[in-house]
Amino acid sequence: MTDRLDQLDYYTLLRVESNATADVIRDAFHVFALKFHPDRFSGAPEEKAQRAAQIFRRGAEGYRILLNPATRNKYDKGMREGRLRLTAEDERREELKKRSISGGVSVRSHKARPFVTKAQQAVKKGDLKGARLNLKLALMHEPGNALLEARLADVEKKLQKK
Amino acid sequence: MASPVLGIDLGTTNSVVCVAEGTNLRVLSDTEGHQLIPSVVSFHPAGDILVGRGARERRLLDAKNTVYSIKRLIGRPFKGPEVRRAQQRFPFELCEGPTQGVLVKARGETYTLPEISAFVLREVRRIAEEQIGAFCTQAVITVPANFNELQRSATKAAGRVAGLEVLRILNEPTAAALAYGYGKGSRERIAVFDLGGGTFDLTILELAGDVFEVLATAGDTFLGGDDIDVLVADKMSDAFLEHHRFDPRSDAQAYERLRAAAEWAKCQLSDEDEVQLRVEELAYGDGGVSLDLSFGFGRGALEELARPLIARAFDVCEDAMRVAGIRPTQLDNVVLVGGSTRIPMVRQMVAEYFGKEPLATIDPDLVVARGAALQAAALAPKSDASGPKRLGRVMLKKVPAKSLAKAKKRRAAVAEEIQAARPKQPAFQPARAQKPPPPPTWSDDRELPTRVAPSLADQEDDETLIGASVTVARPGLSPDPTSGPTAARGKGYDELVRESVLPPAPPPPKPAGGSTLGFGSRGLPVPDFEDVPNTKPVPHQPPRREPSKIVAAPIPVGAPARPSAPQAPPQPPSAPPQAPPGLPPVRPQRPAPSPPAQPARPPVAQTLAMPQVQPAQQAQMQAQQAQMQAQMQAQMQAPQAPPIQPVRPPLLLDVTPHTLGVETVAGYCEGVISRNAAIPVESTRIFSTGADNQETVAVVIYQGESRRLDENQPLGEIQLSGLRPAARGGVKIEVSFQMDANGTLGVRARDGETGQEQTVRINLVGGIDDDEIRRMQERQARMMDA
Repeated sequence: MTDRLDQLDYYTLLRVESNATADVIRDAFHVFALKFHPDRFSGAPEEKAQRAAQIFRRGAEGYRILLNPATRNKYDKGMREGRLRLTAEDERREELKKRSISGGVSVRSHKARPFVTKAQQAVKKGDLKGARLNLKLALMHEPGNALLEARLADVEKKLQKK
Repeated sequence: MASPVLGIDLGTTNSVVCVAEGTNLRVLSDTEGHQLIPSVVSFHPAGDILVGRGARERRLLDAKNTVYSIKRLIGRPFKGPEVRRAQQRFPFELCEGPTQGVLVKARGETYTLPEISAFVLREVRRIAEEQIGAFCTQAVITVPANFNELQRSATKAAGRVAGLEVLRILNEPTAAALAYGYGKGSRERIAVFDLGGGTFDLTILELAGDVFEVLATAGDTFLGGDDIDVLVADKMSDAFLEHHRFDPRSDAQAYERLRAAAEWAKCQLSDEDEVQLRVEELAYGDGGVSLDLSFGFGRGALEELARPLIARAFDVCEDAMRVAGIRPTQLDNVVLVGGSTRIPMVRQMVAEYFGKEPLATIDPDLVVARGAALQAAALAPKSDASGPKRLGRVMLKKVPAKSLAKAKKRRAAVAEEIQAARPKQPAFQPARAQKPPPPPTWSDDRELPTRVAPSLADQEDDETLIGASVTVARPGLSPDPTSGPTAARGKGYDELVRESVLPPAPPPPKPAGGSTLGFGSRGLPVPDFEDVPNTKPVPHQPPRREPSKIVAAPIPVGAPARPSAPQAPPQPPSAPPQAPPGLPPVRPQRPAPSPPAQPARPPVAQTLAMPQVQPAQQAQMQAQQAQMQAQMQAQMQAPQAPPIQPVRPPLLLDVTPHTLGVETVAGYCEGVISRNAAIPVESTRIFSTGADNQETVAVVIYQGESRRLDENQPLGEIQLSGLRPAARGGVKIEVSFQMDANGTLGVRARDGETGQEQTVRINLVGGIDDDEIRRMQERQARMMDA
């Protein structure tokens, strides 16, 4: 028993060409949402509302993946091999790659962030003193960030060992 | 008439309720005309439970049993930093609940935080029902965009305990955007800067005609006006300590009075450059000498104190900008929401950061409730074709007049008590405050819903006669907007429609602004007849509006659309010396309901909601006004107009504010639903068993962006049970995590091989199950009726 929904790829579901630009995809998603968003079904029979919600969720997934160039790329490759959905793991991996610029550290202050990035790079290169300096500067802009303090402690320990 | 769905802004400091009635948005007010209802609950020694202004005043007398700012704590685990901080600051007692949540202790009883909020919601609901004249059972309740799963489900629980079916938990910035953008029909990118009593949100939206899409949202749930109050109160305490060698922070009641004074001072300094206050009998010295505090405070000093706090808000803005991938200067407009945006420094900093003047054309205290009412109208279940005629009588339950009269008497008695016990110089009440006189057109009898039944009966006769629905003039009895002309009506109806569609004229001016919003190009302005209560305190206003009272202050063309004078926040927003906010621009003269094109208006940068009236046009408008009123008059006697279909509110595409993650075997947090994903959303993960013949699997869930568990907010766990017996790792369960349009979690699980659905149970931290909710609901109903 196959679901028709599972036989559609994202482009077909959202009614866009496979070379559509981000703006086109956005507009198409708006049209799609006006049709299938649960808000449009308040007061409708439960079954209909559920089915619409399911269709909407799939479309939202497609929208998310197609708007992000990295995931779109991956999806296009997968489509050639017959996979019509991008798995959640793949999606998450691409997202983490994007975020790894700041090393996945949740830093609030925009002033502190470049120092954290520099500290990461320094650690990778093995420049512990540079890392310590940058971490200290980052902490100046964002005092009380437990993760930064932990990282600083790590670096200090490594320096002491040497 | 189906009972209307309420739009409720359940705020940290104040709550506001609004309904869409036909073509108007009406912010409802209590019997004294106040639209802001303090979110304060006070437990009187005699057993009464006060909510609202009466409760707020008891803060000065009985701080231990007066609970406020509970929104800062709802949905938080007891062991967290915010609750710890609150235990130091707040005079009322907190303790841990059975599921690691928070309980409040007052007068020997314990209450969960949703219960406290439910008291506020009940009061808000009571006020709405009195004003509308029908029972209200459904609501849309707003929450900060940054609220997590626990906070949202706790708010939903609060609604249920108050006896309301919560149709949607709506994000406050999205609601505000809806109120601003509705009916404009233009395409723009806006940021909503929402700084309230306890939380800060920044949401970036794209308004595209009939779809409003959230591009990114970020926030800080530990940042609000309350924090500024505390800074000022600390300064005052230090001054007192130095002078009298007594630290008021050591006495809960004294500190409460100081905080109230600090809040007042902060609000005053939005208008004044300097404020002098005096708190008498703050403490007693040796020999019973009363120690007073005299304190002078300048705007500069306040700004110095508050600046580092407000700077944090801009870190959040950076975050949101980054996610949306745009620069602050690329936005078309910035909208201010929340009372704390009245502080001049905040406005300056916002203008600097975004490179343009922010908009506050709709009262920042009311805008969220208005948006909620719009969404409530969009989600309201459409009544069936049998029409309101039959529903009218059935909907109203006969409330025994005796119990209502008793409740009223008791309320009056308690109010008297409070009045008598009020200290001579209440710290937070500014010297020039006057209690606004009650609107003269709202007679006492109308407080009792039972008395409205007769007028509904009249309406029924009207209906059978003319086959149309409710007259526009009756208070709040507008028909369900969507049941309009499609319902079966008497013949000649089409003629009625053709006859009575008036050329849209500019809506009648309101001397007290902000309570109505005519929308759609066929928006029929509300004619103000005797029956319609003024929603603002307007002393001795003749019920029929004078045609000469058009737009109070002609807005110079090209001026930024800012209120001409900031309003005094402790009081309800009094009649502002400006054009009524929230009115759409003058509409073109055509009946088409599609989003109207911008008519010939003076070219101003700010396009929102302010009728930019040239003095020259005023005379023309006056004539139109007079003509329209005459037509209205004729209409009252003649067959009524059919309900004008409002322009449908746009679809809101919101996002989830935090990443939802699960704990992996390796001890990391792996994201399942990413932050800022469009909701409703679904994501599937496969889990497996770790032992032979394992029957249940527990998945621990978190909300947060980090890979480290200790940096994220633990939400609880999901229990999957009824697994088929198999070797370890033999069962693969597909778990589908879903976020619905409220931003709350739903989980479904099925066996990968057999396709069998598994039993799922979500245990949230501080969670309350259905039985508990029912018990609390019953207890509350008993307490409030007693």
